[in-house]
Amino acid sequence: MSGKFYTICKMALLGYALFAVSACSSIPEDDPEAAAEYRKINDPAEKANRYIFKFNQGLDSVILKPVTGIYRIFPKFVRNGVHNFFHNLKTPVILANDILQGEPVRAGNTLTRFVINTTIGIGGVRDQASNWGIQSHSEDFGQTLAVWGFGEGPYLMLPILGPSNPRDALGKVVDYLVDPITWWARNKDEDWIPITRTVVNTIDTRDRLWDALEDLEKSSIDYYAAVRSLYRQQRNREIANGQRPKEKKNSDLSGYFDLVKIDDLFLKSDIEPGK
Amino acid sequence: MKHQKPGFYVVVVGLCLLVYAHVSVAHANKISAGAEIFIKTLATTTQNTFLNKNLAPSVHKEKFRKIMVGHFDLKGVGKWVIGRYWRKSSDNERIKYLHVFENFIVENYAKRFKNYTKAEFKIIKTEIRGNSIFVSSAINASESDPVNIVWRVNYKDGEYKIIDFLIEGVSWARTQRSEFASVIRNNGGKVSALIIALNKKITYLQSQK
Repeated sequence: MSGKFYTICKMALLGYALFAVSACSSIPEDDPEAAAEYRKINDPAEKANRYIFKFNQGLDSVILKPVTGIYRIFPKFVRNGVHNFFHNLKTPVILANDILQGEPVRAGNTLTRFVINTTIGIGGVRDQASNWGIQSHSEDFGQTLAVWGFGEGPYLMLPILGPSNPRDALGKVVDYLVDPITWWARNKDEDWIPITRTVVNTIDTRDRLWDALEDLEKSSIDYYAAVRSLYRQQRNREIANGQRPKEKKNSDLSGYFDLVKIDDLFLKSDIEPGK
Repeated sequence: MKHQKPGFYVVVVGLCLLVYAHVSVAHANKISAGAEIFIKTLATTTQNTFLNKNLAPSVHKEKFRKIMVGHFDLKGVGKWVIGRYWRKSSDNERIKYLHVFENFIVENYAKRFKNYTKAEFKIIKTEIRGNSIFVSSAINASESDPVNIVWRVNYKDGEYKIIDFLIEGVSWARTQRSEFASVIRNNGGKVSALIIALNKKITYLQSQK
């Protein structure tokens, strides 16, 4: 990629940072409860984030949703095949993060899955490993940073990329840079490979979220706040999976208990729903 | 009375603890089993209601409302989801809010179950944590991937009530709470703004086929 591209990226990033900072609101220190709520929501750039969210929604309705709509003409098993194939390609990144998080069992699972799915699964199109009880899991550098004790930082709505925070955004960059496919394509001067992969991954993700997003948008009274909450809950759940090996059997709940703990700190009288 | 050796007291205390532990385990088991039956009943009655395609949509809705009111601690959850704003609201606002909150949930979920087809409902496990019983369940519909739902149930005064459920780890109450608080916060901290927003949504949902 040319230097000009990087300059444009840098300019865009700088512009984005300035925009986000300028739109920051201040902490309502005069009211302790309001201040606690402000810190808990942890979205100081909410105004800017909401603009970007609107922009992303526009982009979605003009490009991504129509394209994904066409993609959805393919039967489910074809789309699953595409998903499995591209998920299999993520193996090096997932494996690296499993290891960095000190998770030998999960690393072993990742490796075994790769061997089974690449061979018997015909190049990764079929997820035979799941059928044999070795379920897939996601792992990324944002989660690794979390396991290492880095806080998420304020909520960020990134243009095009969607919900994030400084930790997860940095994680995305690192994952992209360490990915052998990125390196291989760069050495071979085959830029179209990572680009195609990103495009297909984006359409695949949109396809998988099709019903959930439609449902959420229809049923929510503040779509932006709902997405923010869901993003955090999902991330906390993913992180908790790796963090507490003993609780793996309860992985459907471990993230929730972390959130309950956060709530305990927030308002003692509101520890749980229904109280 | 003859002075007993210290060992005697140790044995007595040990026995008491053993009996206590046994009784409390039995009690916990009883509560867990009760919660499982409670959730199973919820699933079966909901299924039967929506599988009966001869009923008019309005009848579906009212039956569903009865199920919701009977199984959910709607008042408790309603209070919790608006958190500190509950304490600041007037009695009149509270009554109005709880009323639209119930309608909002009924409209939202009755719609989702409208096209319901038969699915297998299975309880996976139950565990007690703190004041709550967590009932993990899975719904297996033939066409889609199985969905995991964990029900958070509280047992109080001989009654079970759901205070939250988690679909694939995402908490319903928590999501509602962040949304509701956001609407109130962005409208000058007024609960009345939330009531308006909820009513608007209800009208919108009713207009959807």
